[in-house]
Amino acid sequence: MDQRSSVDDRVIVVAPSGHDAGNTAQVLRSDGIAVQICPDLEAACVEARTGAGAFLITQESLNTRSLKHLLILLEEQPPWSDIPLILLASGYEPGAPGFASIKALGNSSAVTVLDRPLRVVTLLSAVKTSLHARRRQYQVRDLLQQRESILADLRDRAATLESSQLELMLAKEEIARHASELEQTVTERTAKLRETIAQLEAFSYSISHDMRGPLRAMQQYSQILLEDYEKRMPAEAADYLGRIFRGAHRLDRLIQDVLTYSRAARVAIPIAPVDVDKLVRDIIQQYPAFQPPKAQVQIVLPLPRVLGNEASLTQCISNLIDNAVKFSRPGETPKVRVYPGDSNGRIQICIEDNGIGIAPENQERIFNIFERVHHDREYEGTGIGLSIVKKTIERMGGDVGVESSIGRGSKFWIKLQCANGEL
Amino acid sequence: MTILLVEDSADDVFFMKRALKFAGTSASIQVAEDGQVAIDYLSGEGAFSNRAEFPLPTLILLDLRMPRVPGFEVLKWLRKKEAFSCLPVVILSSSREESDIRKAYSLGANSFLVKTGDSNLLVAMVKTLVEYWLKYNETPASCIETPA
Repeated sequence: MDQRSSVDDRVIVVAPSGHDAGNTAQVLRSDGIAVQICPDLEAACVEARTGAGAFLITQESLNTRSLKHLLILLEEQPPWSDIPLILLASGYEPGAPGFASIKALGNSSAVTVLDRPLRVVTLLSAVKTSLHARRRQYQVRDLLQQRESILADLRDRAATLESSQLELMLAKEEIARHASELEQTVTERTAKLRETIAQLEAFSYSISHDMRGPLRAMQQYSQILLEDYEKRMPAEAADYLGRIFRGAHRLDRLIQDVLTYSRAARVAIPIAPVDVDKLVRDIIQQYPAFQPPKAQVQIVLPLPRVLGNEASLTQCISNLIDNAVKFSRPGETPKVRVYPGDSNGRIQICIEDNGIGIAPENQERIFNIFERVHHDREYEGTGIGLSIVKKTIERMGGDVGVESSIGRGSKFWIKLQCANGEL
Repeated sequence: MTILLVEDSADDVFFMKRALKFAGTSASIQVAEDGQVAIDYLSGEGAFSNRAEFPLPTLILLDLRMPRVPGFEVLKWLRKKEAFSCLPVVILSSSREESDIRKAYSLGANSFLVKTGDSNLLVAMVKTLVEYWLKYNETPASCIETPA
């Protein structure tokens, strides 16, 4: 910067006739002004290209050739620059040699003409004024540079922004493409799933219609045979017929339970407030197996209303009471208590029995389809009842569970949303 | 009184006839072994034109799954015919599929019964059925409205 400013602030003195240059340089230097002496204007122009605060030119150094160099230099200045020229003339007046050239210069640049002889103070004052003006130009130059760097920075940022926008646009396109692919996949899968469900429905429709027909025939013919001809056939034959009947009956129940399960898994279950108290009373009233002397099923405390599906809930609670009554100790009257509980704002309905209980290791698997703990000859069943309960309760947004230990009865519970009293 | 049993399964025809006998009804039973035969019977096509031998029924027991013309088509046909538009139709089906039950009622069935494999239960069911539809239930003498 120091180097630069000394070059920028120096006065280039052009004086071909020795003495003048030396004297002038001395005067300027004594006042703290940097000076560069050049023997002719051509050399001065070369020197000025590395930096100059002002030119001090003697009239003698001006001729057609040197003037041309100077004009080129002036012409090639950057826009901010207008290098001051101080011309030391001798008899500067129209008609004097070089007057026309100087006048021409004055039209296109900042020329100060000092007529010799001149006083030191005049020279210093003119040089300082010129340097002062030159410094102003440097300030303009600096501002322009600053502006240029700010503009460059802005252009950079604009370019960066533009490229970010481009990246963003590409990313958006990419996302849109993925989204549309995903949508298409979902559409295809949904269609496939629908097709599968439709096939499954057709399958279970066919089972419920066509497979049960022959079974009904087996059941009824064996039953009719027993009723009409039992007295005329050997006991062994009657026993076999009984087995055919029970086998067909059991298979029919199995088919019905599987159908109920698959229906619970696929058919929409509309949810509405359900009066559980009335529902349980109706169930008890409907099944003689849930009434004395076969069993004692009691609602211990009034049961609240829940959000569920009445038909599905009837099936679930019937299944649970049926299990509670079925898994009793031989010779003992089943006692079943039904009562409500509260569980984190949800309603718990408990069905508690005095039966044989369930070992801890079996308590989870009994809810899986086809899982059974007992042989059919001990406790009849298809192994589907509890899985229907679980599937149905879950589809109503609820939970089902059991607490039990061997020999101490079981407590099955279902949890459903409270209906908040609206019905 | 005549009951028209529309049923393709010979077994189910046998069980139904037996149950009707046990139910002690005096109504005569006519059997159509599929939906097309039922439509021919009701229209009096061919031999069925002899109404002394093939009288118009007071009650139809209709199976759903049958070859040629299934039960739902018979039901549609019946309800379109003015003469049979209010003839009582009881569906007898193997299925308790919700969609079947809904469709049956929406097509104008009067009742929907699921076939049972228990012959005692079937007798009880048929007894109730006959008692209700042939004894207590009232139907118009003619479904065709005649100007007063």
